[in-house]
Amino acid sequence: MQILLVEDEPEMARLIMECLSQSGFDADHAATIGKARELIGAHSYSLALIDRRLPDGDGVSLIENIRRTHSGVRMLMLTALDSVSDKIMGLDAGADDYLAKPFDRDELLARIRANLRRSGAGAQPPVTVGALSFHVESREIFVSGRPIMFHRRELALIESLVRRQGRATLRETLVEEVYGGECELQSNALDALVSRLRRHLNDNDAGVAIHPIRGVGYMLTKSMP
Amino acid sequence: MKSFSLSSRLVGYLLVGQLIVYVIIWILNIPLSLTGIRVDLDMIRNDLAENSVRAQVAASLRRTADGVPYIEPTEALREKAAQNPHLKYAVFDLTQTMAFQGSSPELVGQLRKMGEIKAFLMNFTFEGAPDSDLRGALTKVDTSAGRVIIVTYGYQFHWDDLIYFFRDNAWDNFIYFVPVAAAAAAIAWVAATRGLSPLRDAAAHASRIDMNSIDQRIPLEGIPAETMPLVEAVNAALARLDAGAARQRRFAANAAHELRTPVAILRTRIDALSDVPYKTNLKRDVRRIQTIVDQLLIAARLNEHGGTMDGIVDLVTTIRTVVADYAPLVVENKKHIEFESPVPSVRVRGNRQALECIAANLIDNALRAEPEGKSVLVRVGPGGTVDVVDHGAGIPKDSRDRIFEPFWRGSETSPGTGLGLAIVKELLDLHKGRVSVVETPGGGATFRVTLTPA
Repeated sequence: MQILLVEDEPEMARLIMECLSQSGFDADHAATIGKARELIGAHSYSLALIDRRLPDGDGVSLIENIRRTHSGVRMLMLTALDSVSDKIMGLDAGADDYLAKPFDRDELLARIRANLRRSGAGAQPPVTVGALSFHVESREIFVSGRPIMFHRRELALIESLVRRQGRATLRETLVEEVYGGECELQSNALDALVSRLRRHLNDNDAGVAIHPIRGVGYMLTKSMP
Repeated sequence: MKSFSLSSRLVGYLLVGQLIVYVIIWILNIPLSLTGIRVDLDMIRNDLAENSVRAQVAASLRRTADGVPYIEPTEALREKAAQNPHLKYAVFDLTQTMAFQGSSPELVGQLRKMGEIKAFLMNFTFEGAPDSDLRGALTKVDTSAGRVIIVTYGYQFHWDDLIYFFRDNAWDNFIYFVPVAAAAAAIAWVAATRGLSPLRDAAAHASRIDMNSIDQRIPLEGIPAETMPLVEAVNAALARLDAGAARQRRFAANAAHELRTPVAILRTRIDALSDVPYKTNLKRDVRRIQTIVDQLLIAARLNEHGGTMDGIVDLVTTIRTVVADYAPLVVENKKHIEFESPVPSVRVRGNRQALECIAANLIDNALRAEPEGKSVLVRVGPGGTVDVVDHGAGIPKDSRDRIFEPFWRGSETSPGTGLGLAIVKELLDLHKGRVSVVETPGGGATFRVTLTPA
C-alpha cells in the first residue's frame, strides 16, 4: 500500500509523512514534479497526494501526466487554492479528489481511505479510535486486540461512524448506509440503534464516544477523560 | 462651499452686458448727432432743451370752471422764459383750429401761415430769426388737459436741461430694451439648462458608483465639449482608483493565501500532538486563525468583479454543513450544538461561501460565549432567516449597534479580532441582507441574519 506525497513545503511534508506513517500507510515524498515523475516510474503507487504550487510547475501538469502513464493511480489534490474554478481545473485534469489547506488530519486520512477503497487497492491499514480498531477489508472490529461481534446494522453504523471519526456524520448519510433503500423506517429507529451500539461499545470498554449533534447527526470520537 | 448656478450667472452677465452696451450706444448717439456725423438725426445743442421746455408747458395747462383749457405758466416755466429770451409757446387741440388762452400770438400767427398743412410732428425754424440756432418743435402730448399739440420755439440749451433730456430719452429707450433683454435672458436660460442636462445625467451616473461598481465609467455620449475634460478626468481618476482597489484586493487575497500554508502546517502539527491538556485550546485557536484567514480571502474574492451574490443557495444544507464542521470543536470544548429547521429546504439568493463564512463567524462567537455543558442553537427559518442563539452573558443594549463596527470588542480582555462581525455585516450588505442582535429569553445573545428568499 504505497502512497506518494508531492509537496514542496518541508514542514508540511514532514507532518503529513508522520501522520501517514502513524496511521499505518507506507509513503514516499517528492518535493518537485521531476522527483515525483522519477518515483512514479520506479514504484507502483496506489494513491498520490499532489500539491498545486510546486517549484518546477503546476501540480495540474503532473496530474495530467500521471493520468496518461499510470491510469490506476488515484490522485488527491492538496492545495491552498480553493476557489471553484481551481477545483474544476484540477478535477478536469484527472484528479479524483480535492482537499483544501488547511485540512483536518482526520479528514485527510478519511479521504485517503475512501479513495483507496474505491480503487480496490486492498490491504489498507486498520482505522483506530480509542481502543477500537476497524479492519477495512474484512470489516472486523477489535477492542484492545480482542475481536468483538456486532449485529449487521450495528456493524454498518459503526463502520459509517469510524470512517468519519472526529467529524459529524449527517443523519441521512447514516440512514442510507445502515438501512439502504429500506422505506417505512420509523423516525427514531436510528436513535434506538445508536443507543444499542453505544451500550455495546461501553460494555466492551472500546474507549469511544458517540456524540449526538441535534439536527445534524452523530459523531464518533475517542472518549474524553 | 457655496455653489452658484451657471444658468443664472449666464443670464445675469447677459443682462448687465446688454444694458451697458445699450447705454453706451445711446450716449454715443448724442455726440454723433451734435457733430453732424449722424445727419439723419439733425440735432443741435439747443435741441437738448426741447424736451424740458415742452414738459414745463404741459405742466402749465389748466382748465377754467366751465372746462375750457388755458395756459397758466408755472414758476418753472416763467424761469425758463427768463432764461430763454426768444422762448415762445403755443398749445392747440388736435384739430389745430384754436390756440389755448396763454399761447404766444406771434407763434400762433406764424403757424397759421402754413395754411393747409396740418403737422402732427415737426421741427422748424423761422426765416429771419435773430439766431440761426433757434428752433421750434411741434409734438402731440398727453397732458392733464387731454391729448394736445404743444408747439415750442426759441429754446436754448442750458446744462440743467441735460438731465431732463436723458431722463425722458431713457424711458423711450427702455421700452425697446426690456422686451429684447427679457427674450435674450429667456433664451440664455433655456440654452444653459438644456446644455447642462447631460452633465446632470453624468452626475447621477457618478453618484451610483461605489466600491462594488468601481469598474463603471461615466458615459461620454452627449457631454458638452467644454465639460468633456472634467468628465474625462473623473473617469481617469476612477480608473486609477479601480486599479488601486484591484491591487489592494490582490494584496489581501495573496496575503490571506500565503497565510493558509503556515496555518495548515500549524493545524497538522497540533493534530499530531499526543494528548496534552492544552491541545483543545490550541485547536480552538488555530481554528479561529483559520476562520479569519478564510474571511479575508472570501472578502477579497467577493470584492473582485464577478463575485456573484445572486446564486441560489439552500440555507438548510449550507448552514447544517457549517454546524457539522464545528461539531468536533464544540464537543472538545465540552459544549453542545443543535441545528433546527422546520422545513427541509429554504432557498435564498446569495453566495454559498459567503453565507458559510457568515454562519461560521456567528457560531464561533456563540461558542465563545456559551457556558460549558450548554448548547448553541442554530435555527434556519422558512422566510430565509438564520438565528444563532447562545446562553452566555449577552450583549448590553447600548453596545448592540457598535458590535458590527470593525475592531469592536466586548472588552480589552475578550478574545477575537473584532473583525468577525464587521465582515458579517459587510458580506450581508453585499447580499442586501440584515443582521440584528436581541436577547435570548433567559439570558444570552441571539443573532438573526435575514436574507432575500429566492
